Amino acid sequence: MLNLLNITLKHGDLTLLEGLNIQLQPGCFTTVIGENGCGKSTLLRCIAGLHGQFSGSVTFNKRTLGDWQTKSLAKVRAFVNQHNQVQFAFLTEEVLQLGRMNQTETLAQRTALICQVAEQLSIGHLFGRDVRTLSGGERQRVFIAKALVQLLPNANAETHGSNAIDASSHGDANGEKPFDGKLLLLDEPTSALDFRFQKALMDVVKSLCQQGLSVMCVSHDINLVLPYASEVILLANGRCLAQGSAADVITAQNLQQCFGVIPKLIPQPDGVPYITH
Amino acid sequence: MNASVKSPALTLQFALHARRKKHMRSFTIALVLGLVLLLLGLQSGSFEQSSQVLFDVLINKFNQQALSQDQYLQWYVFSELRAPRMFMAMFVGALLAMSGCAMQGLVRNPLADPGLIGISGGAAAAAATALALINHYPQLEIGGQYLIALSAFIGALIAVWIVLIVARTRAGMAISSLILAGVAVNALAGTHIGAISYMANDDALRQITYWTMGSLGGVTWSKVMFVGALSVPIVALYMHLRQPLNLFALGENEAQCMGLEVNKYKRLVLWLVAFSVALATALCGIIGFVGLVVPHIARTLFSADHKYLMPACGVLGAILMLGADTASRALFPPLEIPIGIVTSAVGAPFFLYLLAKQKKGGAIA
Repeated sequence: MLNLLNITLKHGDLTLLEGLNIQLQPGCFTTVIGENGCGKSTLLRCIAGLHGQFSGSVTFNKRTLGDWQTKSLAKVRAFVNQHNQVQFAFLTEEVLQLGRMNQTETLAQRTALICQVAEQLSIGHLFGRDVRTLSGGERQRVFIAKALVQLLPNANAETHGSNAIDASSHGDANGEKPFDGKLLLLDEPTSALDFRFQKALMDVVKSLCQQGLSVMCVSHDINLVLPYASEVILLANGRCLAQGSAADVITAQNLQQCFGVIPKLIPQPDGVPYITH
Repeated sequence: MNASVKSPALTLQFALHARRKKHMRSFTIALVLGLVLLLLGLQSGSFEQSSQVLFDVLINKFNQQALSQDQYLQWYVFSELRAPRMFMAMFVGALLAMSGCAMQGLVRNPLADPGLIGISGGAAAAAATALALINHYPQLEIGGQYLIALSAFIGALIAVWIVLIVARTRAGMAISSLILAGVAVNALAGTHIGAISYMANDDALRQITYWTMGSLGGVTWSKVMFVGALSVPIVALYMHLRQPLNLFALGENEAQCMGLEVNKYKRLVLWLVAFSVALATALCGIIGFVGLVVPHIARTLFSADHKYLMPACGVLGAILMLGADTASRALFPPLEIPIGIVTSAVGAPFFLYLLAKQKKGGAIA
């Protein structure tokens, strides 16, 4: 559903990304790993359409990124930034409502969707609070919730209705899944989250992947994301060092080449090693 | 929909309805306050009219009965002097406040003012040039006051145009460059006004000073009709900008990812602000602080959500200007204080208060 062909991005003499070829399948959870400044966030921004000056092509759902209208793209692609700042006294539910601005639906339908996502990410108790007064982790959860609300199918247009986010509903009778053809880009989504919510978020995202959502997640918390990842991309200096399943990519040699330190890999029953110093 | 998620959804729905109802109530109170101010404004000034006498005059006029000489004077003061300037005050107040709201939303800074991008500076420089030239060469005076207004309008738009050209980058318009370019253009305009004032004779100097202090004196129905007709599409566009400004509050990248054509809307907001402030400044001179202060008051009384904030700014801006105009006439009759002085006298201390509040670490609403 997402094809990146020979993506190269230069800023003056600096090469940020070079010759990246990446393919994302529907429902896959792809995690991008690499050292600081290797181009992970830049890659996400290119895919999100925030960097216009790269060479190569990004094809999303069989259409070149440039051919997408900003509004229609927003219905199928959401991006969660690492840092989220709101300047004015917006309330949590007002921020979440903005996620539905491209959809035509009744207030009842809208509030039902918002409350579902809020329940999944445990932010219902933050309704009525000024977003600026929330803690970093709470705000991060609110913005992740906004991105999910943005991608939820419209209750009028699609049959999946309001229970689309429930882990139990994995598609309808035609085999079509509610999040087919939709892409969620996460830039360090767990950086401010506590122990409990790190895992809770990964579980929610994984359940959405089972409903067709494709996810590309940049993270430094390798041990947290690896068990969930169906594909791992290892970036070094803007180039793809290795790409494939976690078991194939996460080797001592690759990690040493990427981070410049020799890691210890502790084998785990699921085949994905635990990485430590 | 399963039962477990229905209850919080309904609670949220009720909360949203209750908030809407509360805001509608505040709107009604504001409108009543505006009406009271309108009545008060019609009575006050160097020529005092009681509302009872004015009401009798209006009844007579409506029934097409002949007016006594006294009543004729009352009617003249009402219809030709006070009513047009009060309507003008409302239009200008609403335009300035809504442009302030749009500007603050766009640059994501509650301390932003529409004058930030050089509009007032450009208008004042052009008006000062025109006033000084006319004073030296009276044969150039074609169209009288309208010539000054036109020069101010063109000056304002040229200033904004320069700012936009400088701030343009390959990736679109950078807000930080925009603000810096605005500061530079304002400084340049200040220097220009200084030079003109230095060279101008006493008469021209007095006119320039008076113009830069803002005034609603000499407003005619034709000017009111002109501004009124232009205000309709301007206000409609501001209302259209409510949701885009909400998205801008989350940041440009966020807004783009949520489906907003950021560069297109940035240009639209800037030109709309430029046009509306240029219009108000051209006809009434520089009226400071309305665009800065009213959005703050509206955020405190209503909400940061531009769905409510934008119309609230329109209503409160109109009310503030009505109050300022009434005060400018009623404080020291028969003297009339320039309205720019009244708005600055209220606005500047409020601005200082906001800065002090921010320094203490408290977030500004």
